[in-house]
Amino acid sequence: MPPLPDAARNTILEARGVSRRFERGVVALADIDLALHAGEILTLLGPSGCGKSTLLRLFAGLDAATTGDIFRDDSARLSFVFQEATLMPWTTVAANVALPLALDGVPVRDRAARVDEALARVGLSDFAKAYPRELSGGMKMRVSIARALVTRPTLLLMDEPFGALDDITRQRLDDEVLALVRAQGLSVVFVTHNVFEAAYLSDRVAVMSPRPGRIVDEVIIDVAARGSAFRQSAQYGALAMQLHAALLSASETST
Amino acid sequence: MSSSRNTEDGGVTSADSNDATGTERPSETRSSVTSRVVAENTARIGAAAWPAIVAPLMVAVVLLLLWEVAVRVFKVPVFLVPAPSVIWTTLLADWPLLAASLWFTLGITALALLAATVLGVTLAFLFVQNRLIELSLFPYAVLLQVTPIVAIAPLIVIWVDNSLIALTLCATIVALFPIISNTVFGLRSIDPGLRDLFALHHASRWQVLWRLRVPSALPAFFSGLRIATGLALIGAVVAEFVAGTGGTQGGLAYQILQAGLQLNIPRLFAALFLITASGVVLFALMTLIGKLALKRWHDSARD
Repeated sequence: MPPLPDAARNTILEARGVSRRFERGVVALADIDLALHAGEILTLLGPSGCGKSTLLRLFAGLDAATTGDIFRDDSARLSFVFQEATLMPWTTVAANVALPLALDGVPVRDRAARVDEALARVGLSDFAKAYPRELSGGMKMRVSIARALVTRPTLLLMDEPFGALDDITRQRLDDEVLALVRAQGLSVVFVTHNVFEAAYLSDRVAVMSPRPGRIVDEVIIDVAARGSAFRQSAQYGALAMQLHAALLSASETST
Repeated sequence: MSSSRNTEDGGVTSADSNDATGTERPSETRSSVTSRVVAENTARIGAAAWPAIVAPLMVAVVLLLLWEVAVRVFKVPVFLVPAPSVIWTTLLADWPLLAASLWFTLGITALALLAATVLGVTLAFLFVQNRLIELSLFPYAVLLQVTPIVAIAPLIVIWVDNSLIALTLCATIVALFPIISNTVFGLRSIDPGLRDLFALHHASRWQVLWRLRVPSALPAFFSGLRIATGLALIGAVVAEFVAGTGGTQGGLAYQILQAGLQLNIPRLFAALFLITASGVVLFALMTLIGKLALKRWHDSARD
């Protein structure tokens, strides 16, 4: 059992003894104990169907645990980035980014500046009036990130956000996310099935087993600087191999 | 080279190592991308639309010529099959009579379409907001849909004194179902990610309906409206066939019945032509309205 969330450890988010059983008896998650600390990038790594997205939805409050508890720091402002860009096709990039502000009841006159700021962060200032259909897959995803940043979150939950993109675009976006997260001191839970992405982005990786999803291993990644040099390094390769091995043994223990 | 267009081509065009580490920045302005997209669309529409209009017209010209020639060569009597030229001169000669009938039928069609839209959309909203209402009423919508209008039109004509209202009612019943089913489908087909986003922000039912369900439903609604337009016209004509007209005014179906009884076959064909042409024009009109409305919605949805 990890300690209670307290000020000393600065825990933002914690799952304690969490399980999730779906209506037809499928156990998606079992005995999850996991905490996210302030300013940390925690990655949930696991094969498809291991319940990592389910755990993220529990963290977000989009779904409720069958047993156990989810704690979230009251002061945390949460944003969620989905697997797909999930933009509204009928309106502009700017209106899409403004949506969370509109839903939160932010006055219209205050929205424009916040939207401009969020679009500038992802390098899409020139595309405010474009429609989603005019953008490439990578650009749509960046609009989706801008939409998550517009509420000035402290906690970012990202559910395999770049899974549908090609490798080059994914790597670029990983770099952009790292830069944004570090610049604003965000705490992040990142879901992926890609060991390279996990090795590159994370401060800590929780390796999950297939159904029922359990956390079978935690790997701490202690790297001074990321970037192209890190991607070429032996350490990066070794980390990816280590995560790959952890993933393999996790799959074997469960079957 | 890392233009925004390259990302769509994936790693193939941007596989050099510089791009792997550099951030993906759009090097094109938005307007140049937009104008290119517009240019591509225009080119595509231009290329596709002309054969789509010209080719069927050519077929029509050929068929009409064959018809004209066959009737003249084989000396087919005019009360069996009139030549297209005879139908055309009859149409012009009988225009005052036929035009009055045309407006009558179109009026019924328009009234029925309006009623079906208001009623259908209202029911669709209720169905989506409340499961019990949907479960209770949807079977009856299906019931209305599967019951042949020719079977209930005589009843409606007996029950409703005003023939205009009776005919409108028949046409409305025929046009209602595609509006209900398409609008319900549209209101339901929302992006699950967007639904989650609205849930995360504790959006009210009203916000979900107005900001998410209604815009998501528009394309399906307009395709339902297109189907309903054709059905409303058919409903108006069929109802008049069954009911006849009580009053002084008659629609195109009445003209066809009268012309048949009088063996005025050219006028019968002329009235038939007007019904078909109305259907095509109404369909095209609804397609256009759908396109314009969606476009306008896109522009006006900005805050």
